[in-house]
Amino acid sequence: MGPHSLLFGHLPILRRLTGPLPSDIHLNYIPHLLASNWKSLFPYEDACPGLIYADFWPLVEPLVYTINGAYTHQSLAEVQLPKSTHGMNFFHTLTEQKDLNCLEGAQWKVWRGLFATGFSQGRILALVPAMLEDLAVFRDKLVSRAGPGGSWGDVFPLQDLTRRLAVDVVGRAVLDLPLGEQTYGVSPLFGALMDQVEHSILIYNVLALPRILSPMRNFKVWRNRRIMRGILAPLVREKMEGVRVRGEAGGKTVLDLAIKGLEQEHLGGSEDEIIDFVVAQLKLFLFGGYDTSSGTICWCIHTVMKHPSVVAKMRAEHDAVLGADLDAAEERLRAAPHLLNQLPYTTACIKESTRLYSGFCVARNGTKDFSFAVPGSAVPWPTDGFSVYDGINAGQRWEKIWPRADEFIPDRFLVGPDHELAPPKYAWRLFGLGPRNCVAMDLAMVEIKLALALIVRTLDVDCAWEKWDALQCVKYFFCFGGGFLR
Amino acid sequence: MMRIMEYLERPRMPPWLSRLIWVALTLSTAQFLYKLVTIRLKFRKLRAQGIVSPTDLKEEKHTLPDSVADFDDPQHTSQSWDPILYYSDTSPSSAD
Repeated sequence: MGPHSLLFGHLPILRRLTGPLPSDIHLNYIPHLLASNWKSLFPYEDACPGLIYADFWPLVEPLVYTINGAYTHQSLAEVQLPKSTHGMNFFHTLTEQKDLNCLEGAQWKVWRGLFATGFSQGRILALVPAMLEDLAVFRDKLVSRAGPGGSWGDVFPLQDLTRRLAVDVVGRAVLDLPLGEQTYGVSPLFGALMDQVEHSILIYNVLALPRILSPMRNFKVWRNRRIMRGILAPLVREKMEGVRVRGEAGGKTVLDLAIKGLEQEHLGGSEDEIIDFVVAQLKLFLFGGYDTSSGTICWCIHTVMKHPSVVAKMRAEHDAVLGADLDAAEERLRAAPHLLNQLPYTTACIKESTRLYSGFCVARNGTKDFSFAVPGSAVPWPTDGFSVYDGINAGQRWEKIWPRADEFIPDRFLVGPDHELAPPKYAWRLFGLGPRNCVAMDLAMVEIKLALALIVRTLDVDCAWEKWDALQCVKYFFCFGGGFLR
Repeated sequence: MMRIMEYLERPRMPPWLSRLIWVALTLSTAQFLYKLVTIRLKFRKLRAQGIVSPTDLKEEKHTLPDSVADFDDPQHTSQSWDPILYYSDTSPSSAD
C-alpha cells in the first residue's frame, strides 16, 4: 500500500485499522489506533509522533491529533483556537449554541465567570451534605441488587444507575432541586434530555444529511426543547425574582450564585433572553453529568475492582480517614466534607482510571495564525484547514512519557517529580487544558470520590459479559458497565 | 405496458429546471474535485516538509497489551477490539 494515496488519502489506512472493529466505534479510538500502530505507520520515527496529521477526507476534514500534551497545551492554553464546528453543531440541538461550550470571546468570559464561582472547590464541598442524600440512594440501590449472604447478584448495566445518580447530583448542586431520578424513575426533564442527546448529531460529512432533514427528528428536538425549557425556565425566573424583587439572599447552589452575579453584570437583552442563556448552561451541566461523570464513575469502579491490591489499599485509606464503621462514614462526611481532600490514594486511582479511559476529547478549528512549534523542526506545523483534536486516549497511553502505559498504577500520581513513573506536565488532561477547561471539574471529582467512599468498602463489583450476552442473546453486544455485585 | 406508455408520454420537467439541476451537479462535482486535489496535495506538501503523517502499514496490530485486556473476561480478551474504549459516549468534549 502506498504511503498517501492521491485519490483516497489515508482512508485505506483507516479502513485497514478499523476493518475488524465494530462499525460504530467511538471516534476517539482512531488516534489510539494510529498511535498503537506507530511502528508500522511511522517507520522512520523512533517513537510515536506527538502530532499526527491525518487525511480522511471526504469522511471528515483534515485532522491533526495532538498526542503529546505539550502540543495540546499549545493549542488550548497558549492560544485559544475557535471552538470546533463539529462540537458547535452537536450542542446546537441541546442548547442552541448558547452554552459555555459554544460561546466565544467576551460573552463566554461573562458566563464562565458567573458559573465558575459556584463550581469552586470550596462551594462544592459545602454542597456535600445535600449530595450525600443522592449518593446514599445510589449505594442502597446497588446493595439491593447484590446477592444474599455475600453471593453475586444478577447482572445489570451499571451506567443506567450512575446516569441517574449524576443527574440527581447536578440537580442538587446546580438547581437545589431533588430531581429524584434514582427514586422515582425517569422524569420528563431527564427523559427529554436523554432523547435530545440521542438526536444530537456530529456532522462530519454529507451522510448526516438525512438525519438533519428528518421531520421526525426535528419535531422531537423541538418537543424536547419545549419540555426542558418548560421545566427549567420557571425555576430560573423564580430565583431571579427572589433575588431582584424580594431581595432574598438565595441559597448557595451554583445557580443561586450565578443569578446573584447576573444582577451585578447588567447584561443586555430581555429577561427572556437571559433566561434562555441560563437554561442553556443548566442543560449543559445536566448533560455533563449524564454523559461524562456517569461513565467516569463506572470506569473507576471497574479499574479499581479489577485490582485486589488497589481495593485493599483504598479500603485501608477509607478506614483510616472515614473510620472503620461503614454506617458512620456517611455521617462523618456530612459533618466534615473536607475529609474528601484527605484521600490521596483514592484521588490517584481516579486519575489513573481516567488516564486509561478518558472517553472524550477536545476539538478546535485550526487557523492561519496558529501553527505548532515543534522542537527540532525548522518549519511551523500548520493548523489552517485542519481540525485540531486532542488525541487524549492515545496521549494518556503514550509510552514515551507514561512508563508501563497500559498498566493500572495509581502510585504514578503519588510519587515525586523525579520518579520515573511521575507524569510530566500536561500529560494527564482529563478536564482539558487552559482557560476553557471543564468548569465543573471539582463537582465531578467530589462526586466520584463520594461514590467510591460509599461503595468500595460495601460491595464487590465485577464484569459479567457472558451473563449479559446470554441475557441479550447478542454475541458481541456491548454493554458498558455490565456488572454484578456481591 | 399502458402504464409505461402513459409514463413516457407525461409532460417532462421544464427545461429551466433541468438546466438548473445540471448546473448544480456540475458545480458540486467541480467543488468536490477541487477540494480533493487541494487536500491531497496539501498532505504531499506536508510530507515533503518533513511533517509526519501515517506513511505505511506494514502490519496490523489491533489487539491491546495483555495487561489491558486482562481487565476483562477471557471471552472478551479474544476479541480484536477493546470494549472499554468502545463505549457509546456521544459527546465530542466534556471540557468547555
